[in-house]
Amino acid sequence: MTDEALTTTPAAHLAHVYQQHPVWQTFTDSHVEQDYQRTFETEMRAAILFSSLLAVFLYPLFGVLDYYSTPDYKTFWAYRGILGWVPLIALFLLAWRNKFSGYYQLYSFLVAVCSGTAVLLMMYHGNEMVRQHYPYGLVLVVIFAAVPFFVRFLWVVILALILFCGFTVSTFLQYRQAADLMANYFIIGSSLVLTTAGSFYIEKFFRGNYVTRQLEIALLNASEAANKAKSDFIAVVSHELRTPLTVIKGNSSVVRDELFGAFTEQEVIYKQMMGEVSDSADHLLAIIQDLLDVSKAQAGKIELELTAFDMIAEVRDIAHQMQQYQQDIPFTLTVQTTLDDMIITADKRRLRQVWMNLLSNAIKFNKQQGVIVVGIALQGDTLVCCVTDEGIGIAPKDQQRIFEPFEQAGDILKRRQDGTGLGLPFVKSVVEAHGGRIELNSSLGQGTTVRFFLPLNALSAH
Amino acid sequence: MAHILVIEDNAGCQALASRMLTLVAKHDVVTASSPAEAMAAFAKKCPDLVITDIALKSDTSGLDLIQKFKKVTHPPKIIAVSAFTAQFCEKEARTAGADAFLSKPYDPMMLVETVATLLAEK
Repeated sequence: MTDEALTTTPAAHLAHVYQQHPVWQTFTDSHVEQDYQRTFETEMRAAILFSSLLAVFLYPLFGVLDYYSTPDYKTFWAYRGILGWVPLIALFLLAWRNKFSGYYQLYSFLVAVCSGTAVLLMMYHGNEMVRQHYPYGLVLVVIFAAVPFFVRFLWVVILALILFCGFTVSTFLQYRQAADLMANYFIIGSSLVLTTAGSFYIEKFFRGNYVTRQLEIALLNASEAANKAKSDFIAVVSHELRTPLTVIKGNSSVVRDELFGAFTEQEVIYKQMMGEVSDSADHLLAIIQDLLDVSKAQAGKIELELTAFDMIAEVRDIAHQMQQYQQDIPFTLTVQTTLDDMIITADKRRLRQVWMNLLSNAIKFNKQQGVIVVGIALQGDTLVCCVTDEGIGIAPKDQQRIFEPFEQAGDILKRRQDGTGLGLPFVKSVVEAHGGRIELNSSLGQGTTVRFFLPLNALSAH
Repeated sequence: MAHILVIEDNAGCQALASRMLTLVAKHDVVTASSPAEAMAAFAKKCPDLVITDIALKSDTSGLDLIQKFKKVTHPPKIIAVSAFTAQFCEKEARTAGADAFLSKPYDPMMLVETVATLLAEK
């Protein structure tokens, strides 16, 4: 890693990579400039094809002008043909065969210089009427180059200077009336200034778009890489945690279960202690499992294991288990539904985890002796499930946040409840993996209702 | 009584498995902490059953060992064990040739039962 990489922030680094020349707008970094040119050619190919094809067809129409302006029109046609039409056809063919390979700007600039030279030559060979009117052809060349052909600002400025100087030289070679000369200079001068100014903004616009897109891509790549790094890290850490847990849990359960002989009456305390070690190991394992589940969900890696089962029976069973398990906290749990049974095809294990998460939250945050209501109803093709408690509620500002991993409402040090804050994010990703959505209604001190919607069509289609 | 090779780089896990198999199931257990040791033990006496961890902090993984052990004329039954979840590596272990997969932390009695089932199949 270089010193520069160590001292600069990512933002400063990107600003450095996409640094532009203040006037010409070119990227200082030659690789970036090359990439920009190629990207530009790819993206603008259709427009370039269209412009050059149109030009190939319309340019010969100027021959009509020549025919009415001068008896020497055949010489004019030769100039136009060789210096204007042929280069335009070449440009069209290059665009057609997709053969610019980073040099479109140079080619289109050369085409413009050639057709400008044709105008200058025609002025030199033409009569007074040609000398009076054809200078505006120079302006047209620059405008066409800058606008429909997107010749870049730097080249437009050079092109304008070349043609302006060419025009000035021609005025020394041939006599013109002062009034014509003034009119020509005014129109040519102001048109060239306006065109180059316009070209500056076109250039700025294209390059600005390019930078924005590159930054968006960089951002997406970075967040993808960060997500992967996070998932890998969590997989490795959980592996490292499970290994010692195997020993703790394995040995403590062997001792608790008295596999190698029963404890004496005085020793029974050891059995109890080992039981507590084993339970704590289970708790730790559950947290690790949560971490893995959320990390998978975050990486979009939840693969549903679909089976058909009766959701109503499942919920009644879970509610019964929760009441058995949480006997130290007094609460009333009722299941309200008009459905006798509801067979759905879904991931039974994960939906069980969803219910367990929502119910244990409801129990954990409920008021003393509070009532918890579980509701299941069918609305059209959607199964609506909800868990309502009479607990402490969640402040509006926290209601979105708690669905983000590692977030638990409130101040970390003043937490009154355990938990990693991984439950709700997990619930949300499981519901979403089933094609459903989740919503939360809560007011502080009144209680909370979490509702999730499972579309039955999407589930059977899985 | 069967001859069992336990390959585990974690001392605690190794002790747990070998203790369960010797004391509870009364098997004859040989332990190895690295692929090299495992290969040596395997060459010395071909076991009836192998229990191997998958990640062994070595260039040779448990999966490689499983493949090697399954190539002999009378291959042993093999139980792959890993602290990575089943979704993560059970498929790989079974493709390599493992007859069973236990994800850590496993219930020690479950290990004893799995060993008994596989030996009965043999």
